[in-house]
Amino acid sequence: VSPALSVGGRRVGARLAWLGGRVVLETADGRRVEYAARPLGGGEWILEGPEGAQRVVIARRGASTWVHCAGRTLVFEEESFAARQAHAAAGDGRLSAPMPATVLEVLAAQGDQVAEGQTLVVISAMKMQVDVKTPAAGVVRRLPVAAGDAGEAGALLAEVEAFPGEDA
Amino acid sequence: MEVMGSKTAARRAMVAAGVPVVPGSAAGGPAVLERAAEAIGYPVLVKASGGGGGKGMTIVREAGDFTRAVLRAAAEARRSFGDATVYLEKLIERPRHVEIQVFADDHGHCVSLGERECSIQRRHQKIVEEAPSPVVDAALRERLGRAAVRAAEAVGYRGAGTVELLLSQEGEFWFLEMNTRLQVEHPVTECVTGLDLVRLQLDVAAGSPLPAAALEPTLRGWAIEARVYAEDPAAGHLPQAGPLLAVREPQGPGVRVDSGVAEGGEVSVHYDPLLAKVIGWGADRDEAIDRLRDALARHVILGVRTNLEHLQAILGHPAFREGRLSTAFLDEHLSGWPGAQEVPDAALAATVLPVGRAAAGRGSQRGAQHGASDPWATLTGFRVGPREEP
Repeated sequence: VSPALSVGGRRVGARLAWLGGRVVLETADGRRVEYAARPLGGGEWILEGPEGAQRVVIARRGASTWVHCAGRTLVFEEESFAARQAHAAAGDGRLSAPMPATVLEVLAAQGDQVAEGQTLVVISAMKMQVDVKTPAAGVVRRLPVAAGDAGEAGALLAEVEAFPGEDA
Repeated sequence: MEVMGSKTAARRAMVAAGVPVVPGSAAGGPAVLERAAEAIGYPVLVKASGGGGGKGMTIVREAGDFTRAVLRAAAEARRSFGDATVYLEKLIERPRHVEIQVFADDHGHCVSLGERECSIQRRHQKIVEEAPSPVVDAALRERLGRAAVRAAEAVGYRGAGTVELLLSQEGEFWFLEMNTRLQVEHPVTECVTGLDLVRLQLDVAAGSPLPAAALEPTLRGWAIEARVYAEDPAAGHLPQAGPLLAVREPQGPGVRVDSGVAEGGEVSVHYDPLLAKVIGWGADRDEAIDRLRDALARHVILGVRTNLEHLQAILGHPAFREGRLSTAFLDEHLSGWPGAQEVPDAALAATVLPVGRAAAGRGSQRGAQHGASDPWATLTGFRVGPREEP
């Protein structure tokens, strides 16, 4: 599962979980770090981890999370679903599952001509139904899933070859 | 105050009072100016009479380039300011910007309260100031103080004033201008003299004489001030606006914060983006640097970008620690700032912490505050091990 956060326009590849009093972090390079979290109120927390105890202050506004930590101020931006989908499809027209999901419905077939924004597949993840749409008009080259299939994060759902001049 | 308000009138008054001014010329044509340049010595600055704030200046390093440069500068001055008049000034290379705090009362007293070093600037604005200056020894302080007092007396000045001077790397100095007010950086002088300058200003205005402590000031320790601005140093110090979601000001021994903002406020584009002044005092310069740097690291401002990290980088730079300061400091030492920076693990971990009322209770999944409009926003956590029962 990607938290889909970015700092200064750079994606942060990490997995995070809040377990009520504990935070578990799995970094992109596979390190696993655990913190005990104690609230001081007003967005201020003490995080106790491998580097010792440190104070962090957080505030949220819209999709931005501001964090003050060790003398630095970082602004994490949560990517919107649309931005993430576009990212998933960037360049090669591949649409993949952003997280473990079950396919509910397939609304297109290999060889179909599809319009920008057309829903190709409906998936279910974490008990929610999500439309997977093509970011560009084109031809469906591959559609290797069927209703009822279950896939891991990153599993290919569809591949669309954009019409010339269309940005995938 | 009137005389000091006009740069040319101030310059004439200083020359008359025997205060050194940056060698320069009156306005004139290329031939006259070229003779003046020979007398002043290269390199020289060709300045437009109508210019200011760093605009309308051309550097000429050699006699061979002179006539062409003057004609070009005059043409540009006409285009930019509607006035082709240009004059010369000696170019002081990598100068330090030092200023003397003076105070005069109605009873014939005029004193110097020591110097402030204001060389760290961005866009010709000071951002770090200190008292005393690391390059001014007792003898130079005496000479600078005498010149500043002469300058203030020459214009019959009363109250708090600041005489700004350019100091060359060789210890020569020249009058730049006099600011007829208490300045943003006055706290560093307060910290090392123990005087309350705002109170003195009011007392002197009410006709009281300067107290003994001001007439015979003693300097104690070292004080450095950093100006915290709502700006993005990585984007040309562009002013920033936004809501102040969280503000926590540092406290501790030797730390003073003069600020005009509070959590819940809003930084608007319509005002000066100065948010706070943080002052570190120490028994010596190293202690003042350490205390200020630590205070800046603990200063929390969330919701609008600030220069807090940039200030820490300045104070942490070896050249700053060694006192190698000049008005070109940022260009010479921090032009590539911030470069590549890693995201600290703890900062990343902090992004899943709940805020608001949820923070007081048991844990919740991140995204609970975002509403249900974006399904993925609520799915950013993962669980490890058995699910914790509340």
